[in-house]
Amino acid sequence: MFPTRIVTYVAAAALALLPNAARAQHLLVPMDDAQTNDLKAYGLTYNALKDGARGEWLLNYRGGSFLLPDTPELRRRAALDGITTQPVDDATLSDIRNQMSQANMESVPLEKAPRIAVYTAPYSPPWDDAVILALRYAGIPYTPIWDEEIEHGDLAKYDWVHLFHEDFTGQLGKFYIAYSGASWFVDMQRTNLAMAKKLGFPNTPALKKDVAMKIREYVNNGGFLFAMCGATETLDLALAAHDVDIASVFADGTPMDPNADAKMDWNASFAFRGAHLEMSPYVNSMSDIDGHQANVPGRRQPLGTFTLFAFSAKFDPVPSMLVQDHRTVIPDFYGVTTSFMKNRLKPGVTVLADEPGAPWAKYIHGDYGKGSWTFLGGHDPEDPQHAIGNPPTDLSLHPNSPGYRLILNNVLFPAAKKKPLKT
Amino acid sequence: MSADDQAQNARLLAWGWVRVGDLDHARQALASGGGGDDAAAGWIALYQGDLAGARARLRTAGVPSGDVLAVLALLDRTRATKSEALGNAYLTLARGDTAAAAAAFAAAAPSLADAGSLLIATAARLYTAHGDAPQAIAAWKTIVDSLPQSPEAPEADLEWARVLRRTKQAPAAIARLEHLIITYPQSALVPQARRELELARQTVPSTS
Repeated sequence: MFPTRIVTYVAAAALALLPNAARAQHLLVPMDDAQTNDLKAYGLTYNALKDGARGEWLLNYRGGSFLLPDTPELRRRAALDGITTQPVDDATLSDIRNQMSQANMESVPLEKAPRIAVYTAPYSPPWDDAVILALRYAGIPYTPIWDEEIEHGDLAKYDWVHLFHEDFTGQLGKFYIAYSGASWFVDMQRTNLAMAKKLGFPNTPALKKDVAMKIREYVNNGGFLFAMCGATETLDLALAAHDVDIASVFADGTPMDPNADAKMDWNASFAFRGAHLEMSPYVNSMSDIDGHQANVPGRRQPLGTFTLFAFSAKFDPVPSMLVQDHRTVIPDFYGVTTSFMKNRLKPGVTVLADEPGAPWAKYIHGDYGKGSWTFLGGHDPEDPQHAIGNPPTDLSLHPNSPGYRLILNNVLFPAAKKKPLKT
Repeated sequence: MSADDQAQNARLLAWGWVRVGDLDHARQALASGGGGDDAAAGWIALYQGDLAGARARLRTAGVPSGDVLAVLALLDRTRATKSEALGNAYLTLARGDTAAAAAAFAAAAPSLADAGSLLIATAARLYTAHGDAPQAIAAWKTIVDSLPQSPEAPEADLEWARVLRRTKQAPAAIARLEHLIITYPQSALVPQARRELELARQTVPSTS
């Protein structure tokens, strides 16, 4: 038999023209197991709002479905991204509304795409950020901002701000313990110090404290804040430590105040109270807020699963929006801060998810002034043990990730127009 | 020397004659080995443009290789019994001249209209393998523009987009991939197109 170099013929695919279905009045974007790409469904909805359309979030209806106008452009976008949509006429929609009225379901109008900022440093740390991955994959635009923009008052330009994995105590995640010679850490240290000096602060911890206070002011004025991983715990520590040195000698040249614990002002924080600081500069932990202590040998707790709470969609639409998902039990994932000890939560904090039987919560929410904050522990819902240097998660392999849905619930919930309570 | 060894030597000798383009000597060499090698005889028939003979011989040549399957797929797409142009294209390929073979496959397409899109696709694949992106794009474009109902059309869109992405023309690649997904939503290539689209839009981390 003679060898040839013919490229193997790829079986040609069956031809079919785009279905020429008649347009209905609405497009239902189901978010239950019928949905082929949950994450991009959020992007479809966000961009529809951005283009001036109005939609509805059908809380607890088929996994928290979206209702959008039926337009050729939306059908096209859904087809391109492999998003399941179902045309719905007025009669069918009436049936859906009737069904919703008799169950723990509610329709929330979605009117305006929130303006999104992500607080992220200009250098590239050797770890990924779940929110940025989710926003990029879903096709939701965002603006990166950092300390300079916040100090100049730019937060007011945005409706929703996500905090990248910042250590607001200014100790750079205590990475000096294991990575003091690593080029990325040296770059991080130098860049942060240079920014502090540029903005008139003596050191990085002083700058980060001020940034934390400006973030709190932003929330107080009506902003929506979302933080994951170490940014949750350290933001509150920085706020509560406004008059006390909680940074180790490696960060600001002076040791921690030995009485720092007693001097913390928990009235200034969002979520936590009464926490005890980690006083040793050689222990990779900030406080006893985190239940898992993933980076401290001997304290590290194993991962379990966490369960989303069910809220009344009609009377508690905000927490309901934040927990819309097609799964209620989700595998846990580590982070610098993985979970939040319940005995450290302030009264009034809403626990959105916890691990049944464990002393910690995973996902919490609260109001502050005119705005609100939401904290989700852990680093990457689809990479439970994401380590420094690991490649970023490819979300095209996890288009139905229930953990990533929690992040995108947060992105979209500022778009909701709040209805007056019915009581 | 055993009969099997004789047949093997005859095949090698015939292949040597094919490499220099002398099909008469190739056929004689093959006959000297007993003449029972249907696969080799089928290839020589193909090189001579005898499509009917090639079809008959290759179908009965035992377990087919990937190359034989590819040829049979092409031969099943046309009712023609003879085509010197196609024979020349395969012979040129067998002689190792990829660029000339690609041109020969493209040149054969008009005379075998029922398999035209597959011949152009074969030319495009060879141009791609040879690193000739402009010619590959031209061939894929011919299929997309002139033969949009052909089975090769979705593949043409996809491969055209891949060439564009490799040559840093992301917006053009995105346009092609969107065309594929919207025009051929039932194609088995749609999942691959969506993956390419993610990479072109840079919405997922690059794996290359």
